Amino acid sequence: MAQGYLMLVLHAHLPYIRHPEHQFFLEESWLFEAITETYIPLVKMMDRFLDEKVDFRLTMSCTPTLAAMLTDGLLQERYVQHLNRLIELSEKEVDRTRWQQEFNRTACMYRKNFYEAREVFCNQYHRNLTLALKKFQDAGKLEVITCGATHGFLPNMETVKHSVKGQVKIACDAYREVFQRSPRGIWLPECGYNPGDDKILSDNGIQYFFTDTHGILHGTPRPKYGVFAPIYCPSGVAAFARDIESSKQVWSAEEGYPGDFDYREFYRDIGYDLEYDYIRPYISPDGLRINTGIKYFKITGRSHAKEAYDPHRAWEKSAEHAGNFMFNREKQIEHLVSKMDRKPCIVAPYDAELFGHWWYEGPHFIEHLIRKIHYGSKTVKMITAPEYLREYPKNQVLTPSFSSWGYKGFSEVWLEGTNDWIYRHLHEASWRMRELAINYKKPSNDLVERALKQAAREVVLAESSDWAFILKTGTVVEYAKKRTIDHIMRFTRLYWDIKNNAIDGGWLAHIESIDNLFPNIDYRAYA
Amino acid sequence: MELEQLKRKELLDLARKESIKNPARYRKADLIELIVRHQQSGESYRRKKSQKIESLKESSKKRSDKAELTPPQPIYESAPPAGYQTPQPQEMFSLPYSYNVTKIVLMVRDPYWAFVYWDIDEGKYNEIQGILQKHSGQARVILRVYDVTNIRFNGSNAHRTFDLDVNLNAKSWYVHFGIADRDYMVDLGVLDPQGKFHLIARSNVMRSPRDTASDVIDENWMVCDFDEMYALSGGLGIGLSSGEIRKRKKFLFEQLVSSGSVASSPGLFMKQPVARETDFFLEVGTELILYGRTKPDAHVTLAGKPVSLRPDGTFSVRFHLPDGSLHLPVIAVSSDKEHTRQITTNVNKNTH
Repeated sequence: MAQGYLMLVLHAHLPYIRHPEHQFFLEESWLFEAITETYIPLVKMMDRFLDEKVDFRLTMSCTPTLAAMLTDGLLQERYVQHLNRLIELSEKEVDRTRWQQEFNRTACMYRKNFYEAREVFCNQYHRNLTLALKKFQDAGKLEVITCGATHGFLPNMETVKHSVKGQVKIACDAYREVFQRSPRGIWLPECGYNPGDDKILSDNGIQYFFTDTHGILHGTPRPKYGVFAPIYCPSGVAAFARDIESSKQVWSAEEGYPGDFDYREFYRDIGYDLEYDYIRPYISPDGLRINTGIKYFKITGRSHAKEAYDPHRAWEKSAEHAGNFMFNREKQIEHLVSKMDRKPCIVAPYDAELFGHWWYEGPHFIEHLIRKIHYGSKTVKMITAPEYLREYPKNQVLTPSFSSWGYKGFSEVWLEGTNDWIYRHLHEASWRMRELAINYKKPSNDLVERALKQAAREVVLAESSDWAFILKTGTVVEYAKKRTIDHIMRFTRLYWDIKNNAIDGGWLAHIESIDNLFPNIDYRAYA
Repeated sequence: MELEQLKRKELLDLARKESIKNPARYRKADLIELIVRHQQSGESYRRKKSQKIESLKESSKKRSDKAELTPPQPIYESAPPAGYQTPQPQEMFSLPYSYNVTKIVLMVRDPYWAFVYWDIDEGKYNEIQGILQKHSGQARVILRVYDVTNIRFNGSNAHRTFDLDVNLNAKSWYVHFGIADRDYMVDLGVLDPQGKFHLIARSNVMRSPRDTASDVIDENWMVCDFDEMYALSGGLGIGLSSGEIRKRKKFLFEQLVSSGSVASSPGLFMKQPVARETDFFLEVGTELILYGRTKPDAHVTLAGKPVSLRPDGTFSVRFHLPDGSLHLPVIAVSSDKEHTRQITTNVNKNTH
């Protein structure tokens, strides 16, 4: 009988990036990398657990934009081509390194992984990984939660609440289409909680969400159990807050596991390291060197000197770290139990892409952790939110504090010098969309209805918090700016065309094919 | 410009000479900036019209160049530091400069800061220009900030009010309220020399987030030692009284809850490793935004290089500011080449 619970939450998200107008688009490869390095490894892991009857509980958010991309035919096809190129490259690599044992073992590892990835993706799940998630959820092991429709940062929509409604309703609709049931939980984008938004969650049938630590810790009245038990908002929706200790062990730049010297070094990719003509077919078609995913070195230390990666050693290390993580959770729970009159629940949320993409051995770590807990722990057991709420249906009622898990804990990341200019435009578009939603509840003909739906698509795409985030972090700024401006401009034109009864059918069909997210979008959600 | 070498008292004297009101409330850095602006324009900086901030020329991607523009650190005196003006990207020419409505919107940024943006319709804008001109430059455009926590605001019963001088054409501002968990509202308006306030627009009410644990206790859910539960949850350490917590809150709070090490992932598309350990480090960069306005068909150069103008004749240039002396002459030549104007800015920067 466990003394406490661990709720592992993986937030899987990518912004909607799909460019049929280009043969190759660099930013689409974020999806391909995530599929190869994070989603497929996790799916394989969960399949192994099902086979071996290892009981586990995992919570995963699959954001509507990610789900849309995973179910999109064009992107599925492009991924298969991407994977085929990787397989071809890995064969060449195995050949090239055949006299260097210390690299060859790693080359063989990649080749094996890519072949298995193709098998899982194409044959096992017919190119649609959401089928895997649905399978694990239906088996009662994985809790799939939704997220804002396009990961819009809800606290910045305080003055345009109809956009919050839009983000939530459209998300729930999209979830139902993919998973054939209503979502029970939601991952607020960036854990951005604005007091009162829970009412909108409640209106959509959502039962629980997550906040950052100070969301509950600074709630009113003060939480009896700190972050170690959920609370109910006045609207009745439950909230779970992040535990810092377990976060730190993974995230911390100083103390976190991913920085271990035996783990794979991210920045020694053969896309940059190898000779240009050799690697040319596998990097960007315009000749720009990019990451391929094949890397041969381990972190080794703080200097630039890197040693050859040893997959087996890294695998063992991840087992060690998993053991350490479990040990720490056990100690934490034992201590908490002495302070609490119920079983504590430790909520450990992470970005899914951390495991596998940034921290290559991450999925191994999770697999070891789950096995160790299943086979070896009397203290801690894994759990999902609905289960905890079933065991403890009576919880304290309080109003959580405005909070986010972004740097500094509030809105600053998405509201500062580089990105604050977008909000006057997003808000204006939001008001105009509301106007359309109210005045055109019953569109007079098919063309108008299509235009209204597309208008809603453009607004919701503009609202992605990813653009503001990119503007701040300065990675692909021009792209983020272009997306914001394109969607606002397209919306604005649709807005005036609808009002002036001058919809251009040809242009509409064109942008429908480009911005084709949420085919059945309910534009009235913005009313 | 040796202002940095002056003692505070000398700066205060200089500020008063430049007719800067209440100079004592400003920190040295802000005081210097105010004095510089006054000296440069030769007229009160408050009267400077139509100087909007826009940016951007993307500079190199080196981390040291990517100086994030953050507002001055909040201070706990009663008066807020000098306002911070928001850059807007140059490429936004395709997005409308104005939606031709008069409104002002207040957005939460964190417990102490808010972001406000406004828009003004054409008719109102002309009306404001009329007022400003009528008082021949002595009227000021201000943001009037009210603390309206738990009251029905009738225009004059706010708990606390303060004014911030702003640039009308900046169209946005960062406002430092300084106190968490309060309701705030902001008016944009013109204050004439007689003290009459001409309201342009009134904002929504905004609640600043909490920055500490609540004092409210639910009797049904009481715990013997909340401080310990708070600490175990990641709070500020056992033994700290709430008074001490309040004093150290900004530092500790940021450290604990939101330090980069435990905050959200960089995400897939941030080209930064998660756990790249280097020794403790600090990088600081600075950028300069130079902006102005002339006739739309004029030809403008900055230090000899041409500067593109927006359709309304405004321009702005933003670039990395290196150490040393920078000589920045801006020359505008009319389309018929008959007239020339030049304004030169000299900037000295040193870092240590």
